[in-house]
Amino acid sequence: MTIIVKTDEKLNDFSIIEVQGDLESRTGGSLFSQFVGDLHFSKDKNNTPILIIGHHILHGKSVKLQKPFAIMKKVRKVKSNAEDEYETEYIVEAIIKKKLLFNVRPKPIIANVPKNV
Amino acid sequence: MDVDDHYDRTLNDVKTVITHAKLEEDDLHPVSQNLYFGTQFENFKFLELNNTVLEHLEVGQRVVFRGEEDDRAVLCTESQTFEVKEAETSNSMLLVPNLRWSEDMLPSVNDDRMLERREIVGIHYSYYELRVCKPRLKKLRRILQVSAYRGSELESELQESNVKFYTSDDLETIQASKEELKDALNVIDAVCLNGYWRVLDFDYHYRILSLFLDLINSNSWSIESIPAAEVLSELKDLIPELILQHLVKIYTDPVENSDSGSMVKLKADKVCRFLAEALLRSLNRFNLKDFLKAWQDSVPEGLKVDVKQLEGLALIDSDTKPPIISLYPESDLPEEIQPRIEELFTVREKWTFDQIKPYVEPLATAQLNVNALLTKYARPFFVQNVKHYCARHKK
Repeated sequence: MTIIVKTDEKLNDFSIIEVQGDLESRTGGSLFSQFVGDLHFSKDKNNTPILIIGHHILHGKSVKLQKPFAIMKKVRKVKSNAEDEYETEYIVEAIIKKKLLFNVRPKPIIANVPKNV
Repeated sequence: MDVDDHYDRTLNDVKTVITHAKLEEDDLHPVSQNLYFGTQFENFKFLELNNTVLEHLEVGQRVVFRGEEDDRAVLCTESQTFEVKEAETSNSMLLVPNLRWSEDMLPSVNDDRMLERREIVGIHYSYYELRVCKPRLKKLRRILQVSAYRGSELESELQESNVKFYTSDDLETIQASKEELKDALNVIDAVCLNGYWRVLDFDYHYRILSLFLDLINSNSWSIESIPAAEVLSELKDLIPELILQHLVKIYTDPVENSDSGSMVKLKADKVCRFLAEALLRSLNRFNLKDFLKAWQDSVPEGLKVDVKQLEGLALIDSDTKPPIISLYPESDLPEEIQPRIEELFTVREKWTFDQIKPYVEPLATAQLNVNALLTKYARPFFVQNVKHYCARHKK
């Protein structure tokens, strides 16, 4: 068996945001369509990315990948020479060369702290 | 980490949280991106790329996963083969299309913050990693051996049997790149007959090579200057044309600047090696001295036999009295390094570097050469200043 991997004619612009651990829904329900958080970039010299998720703030960094990732999608299509046979292909839809990495522990955001305690 | 219930983020929400987080708006670039999960996740696979594969994909060249269901997956470019392994991460990789990076920031309009919606289209915890490896070619020998060519008189019988013949397309499942496959077919002296790749049956191979060498001998041709056209016409009644051309091709090189342009010379090492294998196959173990004499007698005049021609084919045991030579082809050994090393140390407890090298070299890569492989999988020791290797763990 051979499975061809080919690059899509037009590559998508995908990025990776890498966070420690897992993202879970607070209500335990489906994640789909839910709001996750705000991503800001600081104006400091590193343009530090800042991710705010719920009551947590994460400071990250932009990292160039030593080895880029190809993002592939599996496609089953009818064989060109036989109509009732299928063949599988992987289409590379994006090549990712850098990521935003948030690998430090999130800090809690404490709202409504009374002033001048 | 928690995720808020579904709602649409407003500028006000964003600003409030910035304040709560004790950030100054002026210290942040004016575009804030609000991340949402998509309505569904696409089933993407992550493939970690090395430079070779990256370059292929970037210029739109294809790469190919090859193998049968039971094989461990490999990925091939035109010229190289890579082992594919699944790796896991404890982090979550969120896949986000069209993310705006700090370097793509827009200038602010009216000094106010702008919001952009981004969707996460997948969360990934694993990816495939690639490691350069040697092509897996043992299967090639095995599947072609079944339909080995045994002579024109046996062809129709073979055609009528259930034996499978392999076209170039059929060989695509061999876990090797196109170039590596081509090289491997050369090494096993395979020939393409009517579109099917065939190897020569050993006995038949021996018979037709002997006819060729006898012809050289009876005409007293120099092995350095053989008239190729005469060989083809003299033997055409005994050997089918395509096979005969193949035989001349694999055992001779053209002589440069020969007058007629069609003189060829024998490939000395290849002829000697094949005739040695023929002898060793008949007896398997030989007294070395007797073997060397019989071998020299079997090769055409002008050729000198040398045990160096037998690297990766035969083992010489000099510790016994008298020394013994036995057939031990590298091509019969396992293709994975660990079982191969185990087998080598089962056959022989200790090896010198020169002895073991031909059996390890075919598995060496640019990253892991023979020395590195032996350091990793064997234990070195010295006997009278000569480096030897034994098994890492004595049984």
